[in-house]
Amino acid sequence: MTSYHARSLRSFKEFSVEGEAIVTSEPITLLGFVDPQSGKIVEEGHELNGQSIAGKIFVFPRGVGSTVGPYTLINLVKNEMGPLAIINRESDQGTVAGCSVARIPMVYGMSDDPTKVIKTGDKIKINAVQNKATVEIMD
Amino acid sequence: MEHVRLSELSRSFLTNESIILWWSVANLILVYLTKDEEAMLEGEYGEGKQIAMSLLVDVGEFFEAEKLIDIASAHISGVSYLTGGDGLIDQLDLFVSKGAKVAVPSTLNPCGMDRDHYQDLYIDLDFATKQFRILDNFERMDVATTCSCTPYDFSHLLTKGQHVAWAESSAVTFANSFFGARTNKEDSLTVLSAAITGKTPYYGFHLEEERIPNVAVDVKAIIDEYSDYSILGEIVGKAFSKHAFPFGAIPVFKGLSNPRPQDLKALGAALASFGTQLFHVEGITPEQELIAKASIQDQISVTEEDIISTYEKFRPTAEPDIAVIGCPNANLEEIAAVTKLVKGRTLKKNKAFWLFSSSAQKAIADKSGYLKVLNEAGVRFVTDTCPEVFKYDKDKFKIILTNSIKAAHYIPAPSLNNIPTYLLPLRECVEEMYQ
Repeated sequence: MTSYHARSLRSFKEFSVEGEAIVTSEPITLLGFVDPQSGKIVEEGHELNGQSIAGKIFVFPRGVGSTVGPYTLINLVKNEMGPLAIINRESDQGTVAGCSVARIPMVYGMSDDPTKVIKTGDKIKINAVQNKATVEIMD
Repeated sequence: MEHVRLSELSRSFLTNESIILWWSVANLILVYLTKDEEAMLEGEYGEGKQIAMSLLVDVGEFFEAEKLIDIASAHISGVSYLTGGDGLIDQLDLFVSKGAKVAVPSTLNPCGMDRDHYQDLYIDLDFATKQFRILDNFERMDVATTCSCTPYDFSHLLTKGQHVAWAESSAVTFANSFFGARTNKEDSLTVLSAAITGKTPYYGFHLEEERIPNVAVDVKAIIDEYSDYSILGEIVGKAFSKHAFPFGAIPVFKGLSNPRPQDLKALGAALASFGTQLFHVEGITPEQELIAKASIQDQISVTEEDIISTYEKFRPTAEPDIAVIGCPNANLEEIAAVTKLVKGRTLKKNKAFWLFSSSAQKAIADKSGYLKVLNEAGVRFVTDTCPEVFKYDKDKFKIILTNSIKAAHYIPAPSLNNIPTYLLPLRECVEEMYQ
């Protein structure tokens, strides 16, 4: 088991989630290229094209594109197709705000690059208290 | 209060009447909240402001903002039912049920249809009903439901250095670059929270040191059409997209002569698709003093051949049935230009030509005599919406033509309209559709 320090959103106070990771090193365009009905990435040429993020711990560098992107996160959760948690490497206001409102546990500022150390299919456990989190990759 | 470095933290903490101290694992982070702001977070100003403030604290802490700053205005995105969906309705219902109102003058981005003419634009009733509910909710929150992506064309003029919270990437880039005002590209939820509290996290483009150019562009081509600026933005945006600047590439342009406001709008809208939220033009834009401080990490030249070959990539390979102009929404000069080109002419069979702008511009176009000419030439003047967030009837419109690169990028998006879209200069769009 490998463990990393990270940060999480203050408003979540305390949470613990465990699940399977889906990982990409390419940015995600939430509006237009993530289907809120199916939870699938629908971006031709994207390495996750056709794959679903529903119920997974979704690891990607950052969100890009329209300022309306966060509503995609709310719609995913509303359709029960939302990710279990999101781990980001870089800053993106829309993903932070979307997670804060859609109540998707979000982790950032990990002590190593999450898109490199976490592999698709890894079992991940996240524990957070206040804004401190630990991310564990289970063996 | 000046921006506080982490190393100066203890001193600022001792000298400031801050109330809340935030700790994180890696760094000590402070988001200073005034007494008033803390009261909002505690719910003393009602649940609406409390929800909004909680989001601003999450965002502020993420970006290590030292405090929140008062804003002069807000421009809100997330208005079309096409892009916001039921999640948008839920969020607005929540704020309205808590009695939330905006604290500063706030305008709205385009919605998904023309409010006065949705029936004859093939919008189904279910979509229209939901769109009206969204607009009604905004109205209840005291937002001006003007529904345009260019609020600066009829209100919301800004001054250099003024702090605002604007969403809509093209408007953000225009606010920062043309006016020299200060805003981050606020996402649709943060901007709503900023409008309700009158505050936004103080980071990024609110700080002068984040506004200094980091890339340079030498324009060696003749750029004068609106779509030329759109194409230039595409080339420049793409060229610098490999860099991971924290707030995007901030280009400084050399060699542009006499751009009109709408040209800089087109340039900014195209650049914004690649994450740029601020650019400078030598001799033109307001923050010339920052050009002298430029710390250039990369530079390119743009030649005539670059412009021509980029146009080629977007040239129609199928016959368009509709041309859409007004991304971002057309200003009066652009409306006048279309009017001049179509005057006295007739559309080809089964072709449509739509011009998108605000109802404010439509009223001015009417009084200016343009609207009559446009109507006679069969141009549809569509208000309250834009070429991207409008929901097209796919049985009727299978191939779209535009003069805006931003529209050419977003209209074909799979979970938006998913309709192939091509680009030509305005004059050629007119020739394509008119006898």
